[in-house]
Amino acid sequence: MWKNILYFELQQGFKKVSVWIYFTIFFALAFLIANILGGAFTGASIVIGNQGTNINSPLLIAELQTVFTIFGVLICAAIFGNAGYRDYETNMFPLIFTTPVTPASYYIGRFSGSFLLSIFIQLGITLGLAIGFLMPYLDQDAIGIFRIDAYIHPLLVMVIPNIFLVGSILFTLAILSRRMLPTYLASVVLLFGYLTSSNLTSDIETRWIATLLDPFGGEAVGDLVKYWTPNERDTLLIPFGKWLVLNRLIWLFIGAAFFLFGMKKFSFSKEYKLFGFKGKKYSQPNNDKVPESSVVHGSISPIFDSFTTWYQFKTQLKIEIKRAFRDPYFLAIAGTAAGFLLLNQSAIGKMYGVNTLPVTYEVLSVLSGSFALFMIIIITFYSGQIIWKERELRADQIMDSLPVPNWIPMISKLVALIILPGIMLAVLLFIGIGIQTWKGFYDYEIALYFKKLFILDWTRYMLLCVLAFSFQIIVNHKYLGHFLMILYFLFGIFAGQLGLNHTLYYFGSGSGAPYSDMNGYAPYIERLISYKLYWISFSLLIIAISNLFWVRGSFGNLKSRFLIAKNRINQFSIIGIVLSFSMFALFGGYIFYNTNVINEYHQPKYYEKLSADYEKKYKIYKGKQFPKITSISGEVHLYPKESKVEFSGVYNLKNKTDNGIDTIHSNFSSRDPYETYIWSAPNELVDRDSVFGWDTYVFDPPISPGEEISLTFSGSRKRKGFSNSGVDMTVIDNGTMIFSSQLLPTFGYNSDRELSQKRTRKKYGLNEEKEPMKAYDDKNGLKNGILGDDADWVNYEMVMSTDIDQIAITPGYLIKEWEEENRKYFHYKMDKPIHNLFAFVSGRYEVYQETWNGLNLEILHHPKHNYNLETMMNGMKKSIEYYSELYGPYPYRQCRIIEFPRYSSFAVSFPNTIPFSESIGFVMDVDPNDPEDLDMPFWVTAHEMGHQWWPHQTAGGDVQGSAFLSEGLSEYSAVSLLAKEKGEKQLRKFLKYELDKYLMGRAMESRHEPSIMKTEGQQYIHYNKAGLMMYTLSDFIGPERFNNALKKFMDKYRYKSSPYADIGTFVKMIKDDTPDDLVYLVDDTFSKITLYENKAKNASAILNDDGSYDVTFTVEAKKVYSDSTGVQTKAKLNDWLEIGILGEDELSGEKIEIPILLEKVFITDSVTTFTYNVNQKPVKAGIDPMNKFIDRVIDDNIVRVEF
Amino acid sequence: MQLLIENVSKTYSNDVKALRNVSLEIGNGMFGLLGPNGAGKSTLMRTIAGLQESDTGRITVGDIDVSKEKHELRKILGYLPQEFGLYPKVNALELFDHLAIMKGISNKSDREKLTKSLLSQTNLWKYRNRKLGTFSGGMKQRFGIAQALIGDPKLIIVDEPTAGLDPTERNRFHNLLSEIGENVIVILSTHIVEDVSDLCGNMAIIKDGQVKVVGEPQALIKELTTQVWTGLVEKKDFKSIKKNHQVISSRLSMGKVQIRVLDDNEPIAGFSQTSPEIEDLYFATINELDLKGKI
Repeated sequence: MWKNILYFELQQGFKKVSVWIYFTIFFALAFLIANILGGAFTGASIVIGNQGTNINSPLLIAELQTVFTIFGVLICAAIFGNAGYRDYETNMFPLIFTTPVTPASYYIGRFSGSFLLSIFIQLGITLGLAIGFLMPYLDQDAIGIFRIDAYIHPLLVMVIPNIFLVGSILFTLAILSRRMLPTYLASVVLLFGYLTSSNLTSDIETRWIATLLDPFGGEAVGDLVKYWTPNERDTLLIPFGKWLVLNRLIWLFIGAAFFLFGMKKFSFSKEYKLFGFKGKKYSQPNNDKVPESSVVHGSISPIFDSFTTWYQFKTQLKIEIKRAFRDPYFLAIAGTAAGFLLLNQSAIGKMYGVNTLPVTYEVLSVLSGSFALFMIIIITFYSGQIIWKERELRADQIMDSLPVPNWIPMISKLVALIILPGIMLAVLLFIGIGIQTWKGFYDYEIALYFKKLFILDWTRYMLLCVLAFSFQIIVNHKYLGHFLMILYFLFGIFAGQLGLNHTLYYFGSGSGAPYSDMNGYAPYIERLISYKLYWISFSLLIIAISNLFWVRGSFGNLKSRFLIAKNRINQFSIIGIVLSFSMFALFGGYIFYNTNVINEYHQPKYYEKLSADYEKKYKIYKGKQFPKITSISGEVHLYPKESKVEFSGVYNLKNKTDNGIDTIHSNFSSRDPYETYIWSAPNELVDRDSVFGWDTYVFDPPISPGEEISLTFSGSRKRKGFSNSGVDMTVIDNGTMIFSSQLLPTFGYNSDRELSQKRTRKKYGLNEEKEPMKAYDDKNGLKNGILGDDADWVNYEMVMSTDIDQIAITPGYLIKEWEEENRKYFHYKMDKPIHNLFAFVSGRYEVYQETWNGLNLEILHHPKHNYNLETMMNGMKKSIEYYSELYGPYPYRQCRIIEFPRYSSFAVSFPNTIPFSESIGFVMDVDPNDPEDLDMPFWVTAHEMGHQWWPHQTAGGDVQGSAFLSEGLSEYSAVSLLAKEKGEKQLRKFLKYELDKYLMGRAMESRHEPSIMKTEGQQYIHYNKAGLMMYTLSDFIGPERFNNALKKFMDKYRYKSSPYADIGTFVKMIKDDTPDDLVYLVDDTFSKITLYENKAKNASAILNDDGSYDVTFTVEAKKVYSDSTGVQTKAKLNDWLEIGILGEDELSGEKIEIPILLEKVFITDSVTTFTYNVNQKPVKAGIDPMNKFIDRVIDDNIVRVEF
Repeated sequence: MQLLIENVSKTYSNDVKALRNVSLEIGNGMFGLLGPNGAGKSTLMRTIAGLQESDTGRITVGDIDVSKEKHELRKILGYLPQEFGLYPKVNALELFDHLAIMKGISNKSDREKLTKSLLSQTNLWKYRNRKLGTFSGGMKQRFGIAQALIGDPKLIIVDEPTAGLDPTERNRFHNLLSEIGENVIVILSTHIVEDVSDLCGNMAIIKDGQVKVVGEPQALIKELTTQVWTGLVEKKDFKSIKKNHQVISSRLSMGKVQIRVLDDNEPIAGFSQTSPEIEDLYFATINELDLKGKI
């Protein structure tokens, strides 16, 4: 019997247009994605994953299919919900329920029909991708062979179980509750589950929860493959990892439970109360006397004047708003979303698992960010609800024949729609303050809440409301209206790829503005207002037009709608349309003037081509020798209020080569060329290339070896309006930070401007591989420093001026400070040569100053940001103390940390001057009592202080491995200081993050993973791999020996140039101090990509009579070498590793694991058994328990000890 | 005031011709629009109410052109659609008050008086605090009638107003309407013949989108005097009788069939002449009997 119902269900389903529309949309989307990935469009190259893998790698196919099951929830809600609810909605159920069909067969038939239909729709994705990737015009090099299993495997493991889960929940709810509401609610909850889990992944400790919590399994897959190398991504199907299998089982079980519960409860009765829902309550009739005086017809006449109109509008509006807030759909979605936010507040700004303080902007960015999606869903959904309300209730004929003008129902509905997000934002405000209060942070910035929520966000949602609302009116089809909104969002995602990335095209654009406590939204205000006005005018225009098309009564075809619209045109609509259109054109013109006239606008591919052309044209000059700068002096005048900087200066240069130099290639900004640019030697400007900013000066006579010349220059920069991509932030109101290279002259070819992605390079006819840096022992390479070949060490002196209330800073000692013409002047001079890299900083700072051991230590910070000043100050002191001991004395008499706005989040170290972003350190929330809470402000300070030695005393040459010498050694310095100051506990956690980031980094490598010896600036290597492995090396070699080698290296190269330091010498010096049996470890670390696959097999213990324990455990060790694409070969094991036994300790009520025994052991066999006697109760035992070696699966390193 | 319908035609997109060249002249008083299901009554009424556009033709109420001056029309319109819903979560009083405001009764005490009066006239006063979602079909219908009478409408269009009303309520409605119907235009569509015969000074019968008959009911049936015959026949004979005679209507009576036949002379032996009723006219019209140009 159920088969007949199934058959009928399918027959009906395939007759429905919507099923085919969904299928087609899915197919088209997947096809489009395949085409975009394959470079079929002329826009910029898009990269999902990375260009190191095939675009049709099985992993990507699996991930795309899975992601679409998440979108598919909404479709499932429609299909399954409809199957369960349809007969109640149409009041067909009395007919059906009295047929001889059994409830079970009805239930199974309906469910399986929807199930198959949903799978069919989802197949659209599978087919779209499969066919898309087969298109012959795509970039064939990027496409691997077609594998049918790559499509079917995820279909079986991910897609179909997901549909079953979603379907059974939604279907059960619909058929039992006999309403659509629980169905929609459940789909929202499922989406929340997905979003919540994706927020949990940033913290290693909670990742496993995320893998289980995500109902769609995407997180579990992500966790399984997060360390996959490009080679693995290209070749492997998703394995059945522990968490994934568990995830699938749990959710299939939940799905099945819903299905069976529903089947058991479902019956053909008329009324069914799900979970005790009460039926409708009747209020008793009022039995008061019927009033006798009846009004004679005609005695109360209507009055139609402006008061009435206003009164009508007011009441209608009140009713619409009231209705909106009573709408169960709105309440359900809003309530769930708010609950989700409260649960999810733990996601606020984390870095290495460390919390950011719940400062207002941070709380806001999490709240309004994660709420945006739901706001969009609510607006899209509710715009349909509110417009179709009367028609769905069939009250439209009465309402439509009321003597009110069209605009009254329309505007009151629109206003109600707009008020919805407003109220939700108000709720957000309270949630935000609640979170702050709960976390014990009472520095609420109510004004900021209002600015962000009501001025920035609400206006954005208002625009969306108007769009969604107008779509509903114009297309006059609820689901088509929803679909248009989805198209609109998709357009936002893909517009760039289609070459339509101008903000003028994308409705609602230009609403973003970065926030900083130091500046507020200041730099963006003009841009924000312009765009808001532009889109508001456009909105008014579409409102005016929609008003003409407002549906009243039943109107069939397009022609008659146009006819009616034409009839409705009156002077008001004409004025409205003309006025709003003129405003639209006016503001559009103003924006265009800003983005395209006074600023440059180009499509992304223009910049790609520019980079390619630059390389083609000027690469021949790469490595050409010019005179080197020996001293820099000058003046930099900042005008923060006007966003302007004026500068001038003199370079002294010297020909340090053995030959005469007759040509110098000078770089300049084609937008702001230098105003003066005068060489002291006779010369001629033979060529000026304004496209690339490339001047060619020919010197006659040539500059002879050893000859010194000078260059006098001046110039200025001033912000001009705003551009398509944002606002020029060179000089800002407060907290300007300009790198020297942004202003001062540079020379010659810059390979950083080259394209780096393989396929993009190929597209422009370049070699797929960017030319690598010179090898570490290249003689020519070592003639130049890693920080640029324009200079070696330079003398530096600078006068800076700024607004009277600001402090201006650049490296050097303050020689003189004065005021002049209501401006502040500072004269700085360095007494030791520095690298040709420095910055100009200015802001309204408070100074936290301390004199310590004759050093002047300062932190210049935003007055409100005094949360971590002591930690940072302590970090400076401890670093100076410890590094001086390790590598030699701190060479300066001062050190200054200067805060700059959070538009970028990094810290950068110049000699005795460290600009430090607002976002990393100044607002971190570190619990000093929690040993596991990583002290980020301390750590970042320690790292930057490391730079005062590396590279500001010893710098590598312009060769491979030099990034390690500055970043890797600074990271190591910070790691060892962290170990010394904060103990093993923090260190272990930190190293876990280093390992995680390294493994993620290499997984996302788009070119080749180099060894440390060959690193060219890959962050995952010179920070994370280096941080971890240098610590391990020092631990195995012995910190004293190891640090001694570092000191020797430092001494050898301090302030040296030509040749600069190199990693080859470094490794050699380490090896000199390394015992023979560990030399392999140095090679494994620096010259190879080495991974271990360590596992603990089992562990057991017996309690001896003396209270000690005999612990016996077996471990398995395996070492592999990986090549640069991730292909692994097994290596012979002859290695020192660490084994350990962990016990438990209680700390402030929480149980923590502490090592009872750690021992370095020499392992040659893959499986080894150890027995130890320990005095404490063992809990876990295994190999490499402290995660000192690179191992992609670390949670199997230790196992629980059995008794 | 006069409602003028001139040559109105309407074809739906599925090729159903809902109205074919309809012309009517309707003055003050009650006008009954009689016709079977699907005859085009509702289409015609929606078109008059300005909720639908006709393809051709023109409708004017007084000097208001319905398709061009909808807002003016609505100011004088009271409309009860054939099928309608109400906001289920609002109580009767609230919605009625709201509708009154929308109909231009902006004075609060006027509104209160009016609400009280109309709700009690439709016997809803005691249910005024009930949510409309709990209203029965008849109560809902009465609410619809009450709202159509708000604001002193000059043109009242009620589409099947008595559907779902019990005899008492129907009676009450007839009284209410006839009280009002003298000085305004009331168009009432129905397929219940008594509604028309009880109430309407003028009527039209439409079928397949065409006006078949129009005029005063009494005058129309007067034409049929001596034309209508009635008698009992056996069930088995009914078929052949129907074939050979102009049978107006038939109903079962004590195992036999009581039929009414249109004829100048005694059609079958034993049949007696009877006084014509509007029902006879109606059935004769929709069964397309030959009225021999009598009307």
